[in-house]
Order: sequence, then C-alpha cells, then structure tokens
Amino acid sequence: MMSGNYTTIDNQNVSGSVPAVSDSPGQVSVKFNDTSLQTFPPSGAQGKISAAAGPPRDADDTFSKPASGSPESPSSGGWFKIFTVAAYRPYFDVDTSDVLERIKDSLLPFNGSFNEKTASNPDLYGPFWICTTLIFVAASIGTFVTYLAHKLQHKEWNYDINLVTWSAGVFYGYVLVVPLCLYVILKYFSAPSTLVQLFCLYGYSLFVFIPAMCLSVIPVEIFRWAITGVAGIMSALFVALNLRNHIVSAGERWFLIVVGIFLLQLALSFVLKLYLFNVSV
Amino acid sequence: MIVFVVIQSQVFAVAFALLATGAIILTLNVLLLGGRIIFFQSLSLLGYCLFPLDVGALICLLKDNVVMKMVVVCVTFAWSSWAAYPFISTAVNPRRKALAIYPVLLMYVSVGFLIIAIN
Repeated sequence: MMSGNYTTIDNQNVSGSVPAVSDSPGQVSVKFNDTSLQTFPPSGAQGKISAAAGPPRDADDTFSKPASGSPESPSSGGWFKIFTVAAYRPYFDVDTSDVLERIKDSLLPFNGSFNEKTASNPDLYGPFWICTTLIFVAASIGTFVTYLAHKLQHKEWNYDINLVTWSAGVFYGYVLVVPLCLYVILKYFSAPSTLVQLFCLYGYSLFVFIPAMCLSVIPVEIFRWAITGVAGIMSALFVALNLRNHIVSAGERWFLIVVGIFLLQLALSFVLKLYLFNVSV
Repeated sequence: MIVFVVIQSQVFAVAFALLATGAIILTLNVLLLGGRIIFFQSLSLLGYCLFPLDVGALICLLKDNVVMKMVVVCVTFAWSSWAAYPFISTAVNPRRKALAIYPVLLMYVSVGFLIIAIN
C-alpha cells in the first residue's frame, strides 16, 4: 500500500473480485490476468450442472484412466486385470451410429452379414442393454396386460413383483448360457468363434422381441400367437444364417448345429408367450 | 381364481436393488464407453436427480387415480431426466451421448413405472 487511502488499488491481481470505486483523481484500472480469472459458470455451459470445464479430477486418476496410451507395467495384476474397468473398454468401443446400424441389421435376417461386420469390433453394449430393456418391457407389458384383463372383469388386481425377477432370469440366463455352450460346441468342432462375438450375436438377435412385445398388448389371442411366431422366426433366422456362414467349414455336422440353434430361439419365444401373457382368472 | 398378493418387503427389496445397482451400472456404463467421470460423483448425482420422482411418488400417495398418477409421473420423470442430462452428456464423447443417456432414461422410467403400478 502506497498511501493511507484504503481504496487504492495498484496492480493487484485479484481473481473474481469486484474493483472498489476509487475516489482518487487518477483512475487506476484494475487489470485481471486472464489466466487467473475464473468466470463462473464456465463458458459454453448448458444447464445448471455443467462439466464443460471438466469434472473435478481425482487426486490420482483412479477412476478415470484413459483407455490407451498409459504404459502399465506388464506384471501389475496379472489375472487381476479382469476385475478392472479398463479390461472391458475395448468391448464398448462403439458409437451411437454403430449401435443403431447393428440393430437395424438384426431386423433384416436374410442379410447374413452381421457376423462379418462385427468381427473386428464386437460390442457388449448392445447385448447388455437390449436384454435390460427387454426385461423392463416384458415386466411392464405383462403387468399391463394382466391389469387390463382384471379391470375388464372388475376384479381385484395387485402388482406381481415376480414378473421382474422371472423375466430377468430368463433373458440374462439365455444370453449368458447359450453362447457359452455354443462356444464350447464350436470349439469342439474346430470352427471357433470368439465368445464376445457370440454374445454380441445373441444379444442383438433379441432386439426383435421388443417391438413384438409392445404389439402383443392387443388382446386378440390369434394375433398374439402370430406376432410371437413371426418374431421368433426372424430372430432364429438371424442367428442361424449368421452362424451358418461361419461354420460351414465345420464338417457335416453344421446343419445339425444350425437347426438346433434355430429351434432353441423359437422355444424362447414360445416360453415368452406362454408365461408373460397367461391371464388366469 | 388366483389373487396376486403384494409382499411389502419384496417391493422394498426390488426398489432398493433397482436403484442401487442401477446407479452403479450406469456409472460403469459411462466409464466403459470411454467417458470421464468420477465414480462416486456420478452415484451421488443420479441419486439426487431422483428427487423429483420422489416428490411425484408422494403426490401419488394422496390420491389413487391412475390417470392422475400417470400425469404426475410423466412430469416428474421429465424433470428428473432434464436434471441428469447435462452431467451425463458432457462426460462422454459427443458421438456416444445417446448411448450414455439412454440407460439413465430407462432407469427413471422403470422407477416411474413402479410408482404407478404399486399402490
């Protein structure tokens, strides 16, 4: 401070503070260094909670390691690596447009080229979230159907929580167990396919059941059977044709395998039809 | 004649499990898609953004009309999603925004569905 005037501001680098009005004749302008000035909220922000300037960083980057580039000591962890998030990042390396394109492909079973397109970049995002969406849709539509039926007959109705757990068991179990068995079988017949590719294929093949279930709300029984049949056949064809192109080299048994897969998928659709829309009064 | 019985403890278990594992899975989803967030920050944020749906559930307790419940749940669901959207969408690569946002919407929709269905 040069003088006793407490209002003098001389070259102070204050960040974020409002300059006091100086009553001395020589106006001093307060210079803010841009680098130390924090504008609040950060520019380019949308909405109240914005991370446009980046979320606050961990002290040691524990949870936000970049996917590649950081050299890790090869002896760190060994088999523990399967428990880290980074180990599974390569399987989620898809953009929105990729996922949408794969979903579209699953709706056109006669193309048979899904396997080639995803061979280099199979993803686990699609299978997991399609299964989860299916569970939610199945539980909610099943509940809605029984609610409507009971309402129309003026009966007491209560929510059956078991629908959620039951359909979770069915869908996750199907997508987990069947590709595992298929992987083992294919390895035995020496036409190996990577496990992730099989998960990817089966996961996307279940997508067609989502619109099928939405359509099944219509209470005409024959219509429901028709919808289930069409969806089941489309899904089964998708899986069978894609696998056929892949395992033709497995010898004479390939036809059996493909037919088996086809029937299994059809069985899934029948199970869905029978247990989700069974209205008992 | 079969009567469905609601077991209250089961309902609580499902709701709690859904929210807890849902928040964890959503955070993992963003991390796996190559996004940059902090695990516990995201958990806490998704929990706080559930508040509008809580308000909706309380309102639905007052009157048992299905249509009113649906309206209230729709409004509060939109509010919750609008609150969570800026955080999640800026945490990932812009080409993958929809992939990260969709599971959040799914979780809030299922919570809303639970509010409507259970009386």
